[in-house]
Amino acid sequence: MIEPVIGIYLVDEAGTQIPDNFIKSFKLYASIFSSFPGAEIILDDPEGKFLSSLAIKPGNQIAMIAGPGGTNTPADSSILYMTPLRILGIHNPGVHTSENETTQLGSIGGDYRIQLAHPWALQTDWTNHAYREKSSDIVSKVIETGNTNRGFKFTNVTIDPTDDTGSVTRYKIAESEARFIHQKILPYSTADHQATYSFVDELGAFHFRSFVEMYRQPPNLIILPPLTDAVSLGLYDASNPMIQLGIYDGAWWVGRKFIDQLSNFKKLLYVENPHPSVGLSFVAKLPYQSAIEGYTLMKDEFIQGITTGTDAAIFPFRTFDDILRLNTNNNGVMNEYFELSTTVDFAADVATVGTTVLVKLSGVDPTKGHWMNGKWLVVASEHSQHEDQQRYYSKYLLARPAIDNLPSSIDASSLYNASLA
Amino acid sequence: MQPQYDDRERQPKPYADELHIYRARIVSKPDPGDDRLQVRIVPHMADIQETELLPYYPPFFKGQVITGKTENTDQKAADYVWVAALPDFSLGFILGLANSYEDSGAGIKYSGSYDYKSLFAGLTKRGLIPSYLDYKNLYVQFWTDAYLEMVDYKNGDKYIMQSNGNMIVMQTNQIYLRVGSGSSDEAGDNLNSSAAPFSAIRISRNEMDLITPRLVIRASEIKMGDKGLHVMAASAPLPIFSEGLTMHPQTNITV
Repeated sequence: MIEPVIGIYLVDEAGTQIPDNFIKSFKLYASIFSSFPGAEIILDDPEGKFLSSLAIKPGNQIAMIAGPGGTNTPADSSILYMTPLRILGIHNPGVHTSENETTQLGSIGGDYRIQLAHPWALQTDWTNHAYREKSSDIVSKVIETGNTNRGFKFTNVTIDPTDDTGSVTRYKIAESEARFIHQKILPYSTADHQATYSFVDELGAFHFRSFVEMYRQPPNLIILPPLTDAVSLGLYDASNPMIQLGIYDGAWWVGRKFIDQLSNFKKLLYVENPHPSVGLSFVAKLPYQSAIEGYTLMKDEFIQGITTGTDAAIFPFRTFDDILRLNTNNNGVMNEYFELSTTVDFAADVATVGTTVLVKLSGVDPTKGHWMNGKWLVVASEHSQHEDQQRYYSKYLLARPAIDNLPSSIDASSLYNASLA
Repeated sequence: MQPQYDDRERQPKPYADELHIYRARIVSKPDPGDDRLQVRIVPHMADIQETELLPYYPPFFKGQVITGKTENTDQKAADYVWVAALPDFSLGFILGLANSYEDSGAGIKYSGSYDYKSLFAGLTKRGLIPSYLDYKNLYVQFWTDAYLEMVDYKNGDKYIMQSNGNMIVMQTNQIYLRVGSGSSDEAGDNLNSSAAPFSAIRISRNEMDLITPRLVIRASEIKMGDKGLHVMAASAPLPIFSEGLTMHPQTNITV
């Protein structure tokens, strides 16, 4: 969004806007790994006015609305309604005075830090139910039933069909919808034989998706080097209608989740199915089934050599069906083998968690491009206004399990080929 | 990146595959050929409306079939069972019928106890209380309102009783078998008694005592003693006079 202006409103107080000059900073964050987004707003409250009046308090509903800047009133279609939020808590970790601060110690003024989360954190359908159907159908029912019971509705819902047969009855007992889905459905669900993810994005839409389905989506955003470099390197394409943004900062990891893999990655599974006609144990097919084809920057002989580890798990009382899906989900961390963090101008209108972006960086050989170039999945995001700035940024954590654009110095045959076959 | 709310751990919790103990109400017993019980784990599933999806669990030990009063037939009087199940109830076993907790105080009468006083009175009337009988030695293996089975684990006596008076008692010096619940041995063999008749056999080392209103023996040969003598008998509906003797028919013995 070009030079956006973001307003923050108290929805249940007749739509009162919190004046911009009191907002020191805000941060709205979400990820495909967590059930719902959260946020933090810091108000400048040197005299303790907000504190003494407690006009903004836990339970208040907050709306964040972004519109393009400029003198003209933006069209309705260009206004972006971020996810609804409710205040969970407020605090100030330390009130003190200094030469540069105008804090009045007697009123315990200073920062008025507000922690917020999607309403699902507070409002949920607690009714108990038993379900015996495919995981994706259970999730559909849970969301649909909750829409009439929890006090708000999910109007934008995307659920990928899961692979399971629905042969195991799931009991939702004294638990929130999010917790039920997260702990009793998600671990035993796969879609396209890939790990599944359940989350609410920054715009308030509910998703129950597989990595591969999310990755299949076309990107709406191109991330480039800083724009002056992008232009000089020929990476910026003025004729391309897609939004192209230059990065302000970045970070990257290769194999970070492999550390987790060492404890979570189950090469060997001991599963005893109590039914007498079923065998006693099963050796998992590993290392894993990649969500996209390409190369993982690990030596192939190393992967192929993992025959008895890295770890084993024993499941004495689970069906094969559940354990195979649990294992697929455990090994789903390999979907994030490559990670890239980038900060660009506020772009929640074109890229949110669960969507894809296209990365175009320059390599050593400008004619070939960088091996990190290509499509990435947004696995986490943080949309923020930095402290005391009137600019807004979007920070994206991008991930993918494999690459297909190797540097010329690397022999592809020596790498683990993460094909789906 | 900011730490996320409810960030997901794909691995189940360490205890997720361990069996836990729960109480459950019996909902139904399936048709013959399926020895499982359908149960409602309480209080967890107390308000689950999808009754047809409540779990079906088999007995914990092979060779055992457990049953009791069900929600389907006895509504709120349904029996409770102990269940060993996974925390998400996807798998479980029936351990057996469950007692209630009531109160843990020593001075509080526990309503889940069997009726020992009536049992003692009934056994006394039949001379079935050996001198060594002690309540503390009685191990009750199973009892309901209709049935009781127990052993004196110290002396090896075995008692099997039904509420209608039927019993099998095996003691160190006698075995007692009875059908019926007559008030006394005198009433047992009297069809005309106002009290209900019964049949009983008391076997001791020196004697076998048989009480019954009617004894029917179906056998092609009956031997009584080892003298090789034969009993004289005549088939006659009326008295017979012979050599000054009058032989009257015994109307209680028919052939």
